[in-house]
Amino acid sequence: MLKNYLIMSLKVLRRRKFFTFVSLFGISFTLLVLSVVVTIVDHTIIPAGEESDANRMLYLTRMGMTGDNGSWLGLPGYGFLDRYTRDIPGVEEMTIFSNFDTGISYIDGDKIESSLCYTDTSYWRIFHFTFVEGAPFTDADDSEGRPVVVITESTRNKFFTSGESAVGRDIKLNSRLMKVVGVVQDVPPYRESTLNDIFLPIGTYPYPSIKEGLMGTASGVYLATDRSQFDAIKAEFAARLPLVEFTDSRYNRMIGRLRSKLEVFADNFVGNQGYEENPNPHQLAWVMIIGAMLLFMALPAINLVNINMSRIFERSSEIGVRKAFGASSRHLIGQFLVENIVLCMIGAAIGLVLAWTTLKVITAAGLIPDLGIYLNYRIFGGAVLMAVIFAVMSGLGPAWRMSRLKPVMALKGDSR
Amino acid sequence: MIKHLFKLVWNRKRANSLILIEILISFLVLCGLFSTAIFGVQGYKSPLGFDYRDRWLMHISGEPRMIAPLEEREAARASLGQMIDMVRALPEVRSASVTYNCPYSGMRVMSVVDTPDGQEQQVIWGASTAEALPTLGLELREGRWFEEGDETRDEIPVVLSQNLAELFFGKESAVGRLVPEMEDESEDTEDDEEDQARRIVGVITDYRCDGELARAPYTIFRPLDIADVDDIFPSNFIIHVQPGTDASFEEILNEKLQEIQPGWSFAVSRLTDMRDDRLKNVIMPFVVVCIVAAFLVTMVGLGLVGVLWQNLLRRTAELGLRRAMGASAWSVQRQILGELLVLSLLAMFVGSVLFLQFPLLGIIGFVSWSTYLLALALSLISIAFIVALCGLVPSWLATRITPAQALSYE
Amino acid sequence: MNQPQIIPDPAITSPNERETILRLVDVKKVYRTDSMETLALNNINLEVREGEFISIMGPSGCGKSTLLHIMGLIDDCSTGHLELGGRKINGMVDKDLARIRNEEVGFVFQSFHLINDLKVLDNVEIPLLYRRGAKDDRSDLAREALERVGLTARMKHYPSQLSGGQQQRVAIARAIVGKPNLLLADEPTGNLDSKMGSEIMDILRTLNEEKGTTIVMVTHDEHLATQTDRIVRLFDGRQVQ
Repeated sequence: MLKNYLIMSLKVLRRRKFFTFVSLFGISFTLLVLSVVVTIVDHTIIPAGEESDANRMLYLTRMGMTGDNGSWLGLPGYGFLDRYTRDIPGVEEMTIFSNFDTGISYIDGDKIESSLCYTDTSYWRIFHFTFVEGAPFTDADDSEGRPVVVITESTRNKFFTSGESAVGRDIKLNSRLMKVVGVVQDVPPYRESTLNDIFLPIGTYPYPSIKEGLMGTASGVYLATDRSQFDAIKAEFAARLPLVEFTDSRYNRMIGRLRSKLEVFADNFVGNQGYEENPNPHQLAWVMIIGAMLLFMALPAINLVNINMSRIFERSSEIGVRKAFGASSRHLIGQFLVENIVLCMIGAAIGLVLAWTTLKVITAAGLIPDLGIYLNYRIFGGAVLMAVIFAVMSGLGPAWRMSRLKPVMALKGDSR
Repeated sequence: MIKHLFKLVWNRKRANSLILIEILISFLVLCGLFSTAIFGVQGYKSPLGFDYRDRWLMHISGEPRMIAPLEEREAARASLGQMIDMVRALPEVRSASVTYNCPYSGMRVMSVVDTPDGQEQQVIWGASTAEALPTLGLELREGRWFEEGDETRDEIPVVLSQNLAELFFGKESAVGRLVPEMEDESEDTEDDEEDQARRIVGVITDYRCDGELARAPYTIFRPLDIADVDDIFPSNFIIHVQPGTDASFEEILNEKLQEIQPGWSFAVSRLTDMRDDRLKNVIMPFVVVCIVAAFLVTMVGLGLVGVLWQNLLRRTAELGLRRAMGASAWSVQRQILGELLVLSLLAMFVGSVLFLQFPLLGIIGFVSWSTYLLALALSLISIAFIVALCGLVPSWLATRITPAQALSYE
Repeated sequence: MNQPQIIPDPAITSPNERETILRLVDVKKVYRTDSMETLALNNINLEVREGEFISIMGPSGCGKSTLLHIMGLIDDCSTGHLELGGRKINGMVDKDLARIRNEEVGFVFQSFHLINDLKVLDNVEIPLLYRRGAKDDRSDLAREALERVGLTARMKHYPSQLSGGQQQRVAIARAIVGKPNLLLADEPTGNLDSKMGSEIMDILRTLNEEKGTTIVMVTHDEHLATQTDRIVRLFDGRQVQ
């Protein structure tokens, strides 16, 4: 039966090329846009690359300090992270790293601006960077404040002749000579927590008071032994907040919470600042994403419904014959849905090819720095799923309409 | 005739409602795009309120300032004073100012004021040293700018952006008046500033520090005394350099700054670059949205052509069963075009009513009636054009088919 | 085509003793539009017995096609009762109607109504598609049906590659492939020239005589009608004979 439906749908597609073109134009374009969106979402929330353990990680990227007369919202300071959030049961490893620091260098009069990340050695155990050459700095480098750095490949190419080894050589950073000990592969821009040009031991930080502040510009990442520990770790973190001692009398309470990568994404998506608990960020974010996708699909779907509806006329003789020879409404709904699904699958295939090309072109044109985005089986599956949803959305109405035609009317070519 | 057309549309309401929805959605999409575009163009044309040419922004990065113990803060203030004096003395520099209100920097000190109609309004509450006026190229419209020594008065002299002055006092002059009660989020409320009145000494052209494509924020400038800064450390310098100054000066500047305070790092960016970035960041997504919208509208258009073509063929065939085509072909087309006309008028009417709810109910921040009405007019014209094109193509094609072809069509 | 040899089937007894397979009681059909009502059929009472070959005659617009459609359950009557194969049809849902159409009735239309996108064999298979169970022998059955109308050589062709007479033979093959009790033919020769028309008529007669298939045929050709067992005449929706 299915085979007959499939043969029939291909025949129909070939018969009226203009309609096939218009339908495929809409479907493939819709799926192109949706697959690009899904690709970006996928790469933002699915663990990969140096963040391959992200599904065991909790992030602390927002912190607030409040008092009776005001609050200071921002990022946690090294002092808070170091003094109050170590040794949480269930945490295998934790790292603290700084954000927003900039390094300026001049080479032959050209300025090189690099984003700096001061961090500890745990960082290299939590995030799995690929070392092109050399190795991470050591605990001794950190505790003794040795001027050593790990740089990315693209940074190496800015400082040295492309392809040349950099390990053991010096770079001048903010007027200070630093020795390169390792070179890592670049990180795609959507993985914010590891997106930096140069990594330095926190012991080299020019201003020792960085280790004091409750608030500052640091972030913490906690690698749990297992996902199941998340709730316990979050609870322990929350329980430690009241223990914080304040040197500044204006403040008396710390706010903030540990979040999984998905929670961070969901909070960002729904515009939640992330200081306070948000009961259902996942659900809300997914509802919003899926809602937006369905909304975006609505216009192409209506368009397809319109085309399908107006084509009932063309098929009325066939509908009449099938009914006269014993096809029930359900048979016909099935047939037309299958036809529409076939159409949408072809559209999806074209859409995916276009999406792949689009991502290539975007990357090649350098409109956005190398996204390193590629289509994978999840996105492929997602696109197929969306095509089916789209097919049902746009096919059910016309199919129902067709199946309801009175056979005698259909045979007379009257599709009203 | 019109009544007849409405009747026709009504009789085929199920099929027509879908076409109506399609045209309606396309219309609303166009309305949204046009209003955004018009808002952008108007913003691009109107003055920025400051000058970005030959202006550099020097940002002190690293975090010691905010969290430093008190004795370190003292040292930091001293370094900062030394730095600004050193920068001003350089021959390449025309003027330099320390300010919280840097254009494009994204760093803000905000406060909330009560407007005369009882609403709370966010304002930028930024302190600047007195040189900010020439350094940023601000445009004084009324009164005076604050001067050296102003910061020690009993009253704090402040300069308002024109939009804020109008919000407070309408058409009346703001100079000499006091800023109405304000809640200060950033400052230490136990500070003696609490009791100080804020006397308006001048009004400047709207200071659009987020660039041409953003709304002009409400701004208050107040004097900044480097020797007295507290927990929010001013980390930005605006430097007005001599025309033609190049990157080599940047290196010199950086070295000189490092000499004063080796622990800090300094990043210099040009306001022209920052402006380009900001424009690009707004325009790029808009272009993407426009491309997507163009595809959507094309798709709707093609779909419409298909549907109309099908209708035309069917009715021509029906008609052909009874009589030869000849004169009657045009009557079928006229009917279909008439139906389409009624449908699109209906869609545009409903669309206009829906679209005007946005400014009327203030669903998105109100811009100006001229923006909305111009957007509406442009959308109406575009939709009318697209629909006419989609209607005429099938009609034109239909004139080329013979009655026999129409009849044999299955 | 040779005149087929008539071999009397011992199972077939005289018409009067045979079972009634279709009964229409006081069937009325009214078409309503916005402005007027048209009475297409008025109080039709008719019994069709197993193995009969009946023709329905009358001028155009007298309602004969409508009557045929009602008999074949592809149209419903406004009032009156219908029994097919001993079952009361009135009030049946779409699913059951579809099954009865599939199992009990075969149609032949004046304008063939073959599906142009499908090859001859696929066209003939259509009734079997909607039958539960039958799967493996579908194409064998279709082949067999095509053999009966003498078109096995053309089964890989598309309908548009065939002449009108051949198309109608395909349509007959399609109508009989499911071995229905009742074959309904709506002016089967109407679109054909006389030579082709008589070929089609021969096939129908052979089916009736050899296989005992009950046939109801609408025609306005007196010559064809005389070749059938019984003629029902309609005039303005009324049965006149």
